[in-house]
Amino acid sequence: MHTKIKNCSLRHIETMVPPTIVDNMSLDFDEKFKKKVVKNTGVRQRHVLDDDMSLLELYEAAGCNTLEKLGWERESIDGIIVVTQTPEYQLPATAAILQGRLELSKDTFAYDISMGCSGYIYGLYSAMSHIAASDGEIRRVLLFVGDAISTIVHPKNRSSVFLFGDAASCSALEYDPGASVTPFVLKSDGSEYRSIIVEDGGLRNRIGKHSFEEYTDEEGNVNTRASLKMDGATVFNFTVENVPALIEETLAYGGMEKGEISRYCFHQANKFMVDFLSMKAGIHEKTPVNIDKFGNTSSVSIPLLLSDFEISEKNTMLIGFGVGMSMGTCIVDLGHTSTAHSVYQKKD
Amino acid sequence: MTREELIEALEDILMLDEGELETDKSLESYEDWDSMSYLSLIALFDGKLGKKLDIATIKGFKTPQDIIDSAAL
Repeated sequence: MHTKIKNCSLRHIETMVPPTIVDNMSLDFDEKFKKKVVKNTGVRQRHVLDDDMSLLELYEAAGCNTLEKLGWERESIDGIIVVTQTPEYQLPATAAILQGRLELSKDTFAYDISMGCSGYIYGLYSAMSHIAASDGEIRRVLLFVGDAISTIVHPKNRSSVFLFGDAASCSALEYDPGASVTPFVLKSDGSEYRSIIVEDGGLRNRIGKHSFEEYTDEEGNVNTRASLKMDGATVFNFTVENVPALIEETLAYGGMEKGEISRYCFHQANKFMVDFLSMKAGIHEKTPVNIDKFGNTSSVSIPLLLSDFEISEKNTMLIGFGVGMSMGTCIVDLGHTSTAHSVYQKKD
Repeated sequence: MTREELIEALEDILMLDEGELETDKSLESYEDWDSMSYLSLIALFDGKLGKKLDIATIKGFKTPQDIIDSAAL
C-alpha cells in the first residue's frame, strides 16, 4: 500500500528507558558464546523493566514531558494511540488507561495497535491519517510506542535472551497546512507469521499449565510456549529478500534519489542485520546504529534512534520490518522536530 | 571470491583459527555451527557471491565441503 499524507507535522519525540541496565557479558552463559553473541548482535547492554514496574509509568512520564516541552494544554489533545505488543492487560486497551493517567479530556479518542518491529511506521501512519482525513478537525494526536519484550523472553533461551531491551516513547503530531508531504509504503506477509511468535495465551492456543513447561528446540534453546519464539534465520532471509527492494520502492514513490535522503533509520533488529542491509543498499554511511546501548527494543527502536542521535533533518527515511511479518517505511520531515531522551526515575 | 577466501570466511563464521577448518568433517561437530552461523552464511553468499541461500539448503549441508561445492567457485 502506498499513500502520501499531507498537512501533518511531527513536533516532538520523547523516549524513555527503565533505569535497570543488564550487561550481556554478566549473563550466566559460556564466555566464548557470550562474546560471539555480543559481536554478532552488537548488543552490549540493555535497559529492562524491573519486576515491580510496567511501561505505563514510562508512557505517562514521556507524555507529561512532551506536553510540557510543547506547551500543549491537556484539553487540546484529540486522540492518543498506543502501539505495543506488551500491553498492560489483555483488556482494556492501554491507551484508555493512559488517557485517565494523563488526565486528558474525555473527548479524547484512545486505542491500541498491536504491532511490533514495524509498529512506529504504522503508528505514525494511523495518527497522521486521523489528522489529515479530518482536515484538522482532529488537530493534535499523541502517539505512544512502547515494548517490554525482555519480559516475554525465557531466561534460558540463548538465542533471544541477549537481544531485547525495553523502552517507551511519545511522539506529538499536529495539523499543519504548511507541512511537507509524508510518503508511506506499508506491506504485510502473513504466510510467515510463525517466524516470530508467542504461541500460547491467545485464542488459538489457550494458556494453561502446559504453556509453562520447558522444552528444548532443535537449536538447543530452552523455551516455553508462553515465551517468545523466534526463527532468526527465516526472519533474516525474509528481511534480506524484501527490505532493500522496499527502500528502492519508497524512494521511487517519494520521487527521490538515494542521495537526497539525509538519514536511513532502520529498526534496530540486530547489528549484523542492519549493517548487512545498509551495505547492500549502499547507504551505510547514512545509517545510524545504537543497538549496542539499548538492544532490540521492538517498535521503539526507531524513535529511540531519532532521539539518541538528535536527528532533526528534512528527508529522513524510517524503515521498520519484522513480526507479522510486516514492513513499513516513510520519508518524514524532521526539520522542525525536537527530541528528548531520558532514563525513567522511579518515584518513592 | 576465491576458494581460499571462502575457507577463511568459513573459519571466521565457525570461530576457528586459520588452518583449523577440515572440509570433510561433519558441520555438526563444530561447536559454533548454529543459527547465528546460518545468518552469516546467508549474508556471505548474498553479499560476496550474489547467491541466495535458504534455510532448507543450509540444513542440508553436512560438511564444509558441501558449502564450498554450493558456492561453485
